[in-house]
Amino acid sequence: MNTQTLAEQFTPKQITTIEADPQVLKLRYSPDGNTLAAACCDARIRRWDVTSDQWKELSPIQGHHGWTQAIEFSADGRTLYSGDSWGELRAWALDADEPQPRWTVPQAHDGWLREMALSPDGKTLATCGADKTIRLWATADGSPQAAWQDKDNEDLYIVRYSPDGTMLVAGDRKGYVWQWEVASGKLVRKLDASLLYKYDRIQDVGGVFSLAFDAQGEQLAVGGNKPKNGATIQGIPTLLLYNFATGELAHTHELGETKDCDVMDIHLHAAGFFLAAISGGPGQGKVVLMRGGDAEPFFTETKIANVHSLAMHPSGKRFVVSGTNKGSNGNGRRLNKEGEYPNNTSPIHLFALSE
Amino acid sequence: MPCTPHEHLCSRRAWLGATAAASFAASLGPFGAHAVAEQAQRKSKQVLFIWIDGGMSQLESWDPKPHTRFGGPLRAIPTSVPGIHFSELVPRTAKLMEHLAVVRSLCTKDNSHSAGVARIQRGDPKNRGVTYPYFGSAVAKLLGPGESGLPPYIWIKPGSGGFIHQDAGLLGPKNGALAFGDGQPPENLLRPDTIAETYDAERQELRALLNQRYASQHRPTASEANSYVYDMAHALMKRQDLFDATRLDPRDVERYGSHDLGRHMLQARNMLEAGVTFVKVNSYGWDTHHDNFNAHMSLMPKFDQAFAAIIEDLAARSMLDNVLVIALSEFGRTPRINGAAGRDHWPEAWSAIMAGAGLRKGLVVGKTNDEGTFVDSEPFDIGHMFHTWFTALGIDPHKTEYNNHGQPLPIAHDNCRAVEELLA
Repeated sequence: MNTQTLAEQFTPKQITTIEADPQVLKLRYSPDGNTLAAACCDARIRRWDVTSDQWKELSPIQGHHGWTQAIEFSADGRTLYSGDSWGELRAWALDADEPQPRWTVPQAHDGWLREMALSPDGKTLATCGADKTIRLWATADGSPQAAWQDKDNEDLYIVRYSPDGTMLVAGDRKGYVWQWEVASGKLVRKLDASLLYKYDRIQDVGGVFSLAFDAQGEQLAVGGNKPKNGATIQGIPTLLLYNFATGELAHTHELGETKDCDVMDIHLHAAGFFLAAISGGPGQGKVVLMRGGDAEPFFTETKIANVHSLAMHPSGKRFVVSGTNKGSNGNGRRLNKEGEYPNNTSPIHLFALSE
Repeated sequence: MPCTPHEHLCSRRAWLGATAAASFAASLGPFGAHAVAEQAQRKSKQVLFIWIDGGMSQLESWDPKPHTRFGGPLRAIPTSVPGIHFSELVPRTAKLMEHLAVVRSLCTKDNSHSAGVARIQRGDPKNRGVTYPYFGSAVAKLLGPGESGLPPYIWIKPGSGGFIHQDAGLLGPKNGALAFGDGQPPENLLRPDTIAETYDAERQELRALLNQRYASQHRPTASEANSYVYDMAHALMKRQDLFDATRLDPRDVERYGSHDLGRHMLQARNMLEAGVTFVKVNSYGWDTHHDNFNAHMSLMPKFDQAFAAIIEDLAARSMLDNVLVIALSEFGRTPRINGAAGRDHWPEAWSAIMAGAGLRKGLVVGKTNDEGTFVDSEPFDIGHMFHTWFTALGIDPHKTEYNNHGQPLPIAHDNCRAVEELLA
């Protein structure tokens, strides 16, 4: 499908926006597309019935600590897996109105459990974290299956299964993508995406923030930023498209200016384009739709600040992104009209692809 | 710039000379033996001042609020003192809490770097139309160079070095900082082999003569500073070992860390051991408006490694009794987490960590509220800290004054006082 056709058929239209308090770190649809889950900065997981455009909030899931950043639905939608920044992993039974834990691993990782991925057969959950380790868990009972680490890999920010389930890839703080063969646990390859990393003064800046396969497992998208400096980070949001079979870098897409920074989430659409959620400095951010290899996106939404997550509806015809309220930053004492020190929120924006 | 009699200091020559204590005391006039004892106590005091430029987050260091609205993703860990917790990012420092003191109730005025850096390091005195010295210049002036003969105010920093006279403010340029860019000595410090020692001595004599002639015709401050720089260079020429990385114990290099902050902190330890009165170590790049948590997960372990190593070493060498260690920024960081997962500037409620020179050990002074948004005890401004630090160094901030061309000026903010809980 050429770019013009993509633009005609898939230019998004915004349908609705809801406020989520506090900030949302990750959005995921249930496999049937009827529920949207949002992992939040207060460790809760908020849920909505999204069967209509008038979303109905369901009871939140509570029990985690710190931040809950990693969530995945089981294939049948009856279980939600979640991990928090204190290293705890849980599985929640969603059958009742008030979700109950099916099992809990209190210390799945030493420190921040950053992301998770469900194997295509639904039997194994892979998690990664600040302890530089990939860990595999049986979804049935949370029992540990394997733990992988290379002597050189750093804090692992993200993990994904290849669509056929034979490979696991994980992106680290220094811009490398580590690939393990699932059956043998053997490290088979390290993709160099280190242009997404810089050592500035004494700070490690950047890393691999997002990974996504296409449905066939032919392409692997790697997202982050090409950092210019640390502290108040400046860096060009960058998405790398690899031929997964050969490991060759097919395309490098710079998706903004240095103020735009991080490609936080990616989806490779079946129609042959990618969606990227981009969060820059405070107040900066955008959503980009683009065909790999093109010079320019066919759609860019810049009104949404600090886009941290993107979730595609199972139909492939809708998606949601979480942003951040306006005026989220500021030095010193900034109180609201009531004289209180306010928190920030995450508007969740629903878009329809215009096919 | 002369000071008032209270803080008149023994010169190195007087201190090292064979003069009997009694006659030395007599030379000080009405202050007598008591003044000698007081000055002797001062003489051994030194300062390590660690400047975390840009703003270390108190929530990711000394005042964690885990699992609260603004607490962020990280955990708290216990320290070696029961009941006191730090962020999980400083495990090594946490094990040394019995040597340390933390103030969690700093409430200062400036939320910009441009104002904050100077005001914090000058102690935010009342505005009297003069430029106060940075703490390093103040201490160097008030305590002097000590027995080492080395420059009393040395600044180890990333980037370039040089003589930073601006730090001295009203004390005059001579009292500025000698900055070692990336810990390196000044360029061309060594006498070239092509210049014989006797010829070099003749050159120095000629230089001194010309300087005297110049000084007689100009304002003294500039010529004093110029001569002083040469004198410092001479002193440093005798201590090139302080810059020789090959002499470092590899185990120390590993303990402190091979990163800039580790290397510079190890050099600071050696400078303190050599007798330098005031050593400042800078770390830049802490202004984490964006990606605060990953940034602190990268920055704090390096700080933790280097800071814990130098505290261990100073304690093991019994130097911590006399060396005042201070680590702080120009402000803390906002409890509120912005859209870029960053924290902004927050002077309202933040923390500093310190140790040594008689400060009480193993305690936390002040507290913030449950969410860490505001101070929930008596707030302390930087003026309180200056009173406390001067007192710990044996300098009475109520009796000691600067003499600004005849105008007496307090060395610390008139309306502040020392934090008694910190003083043993």
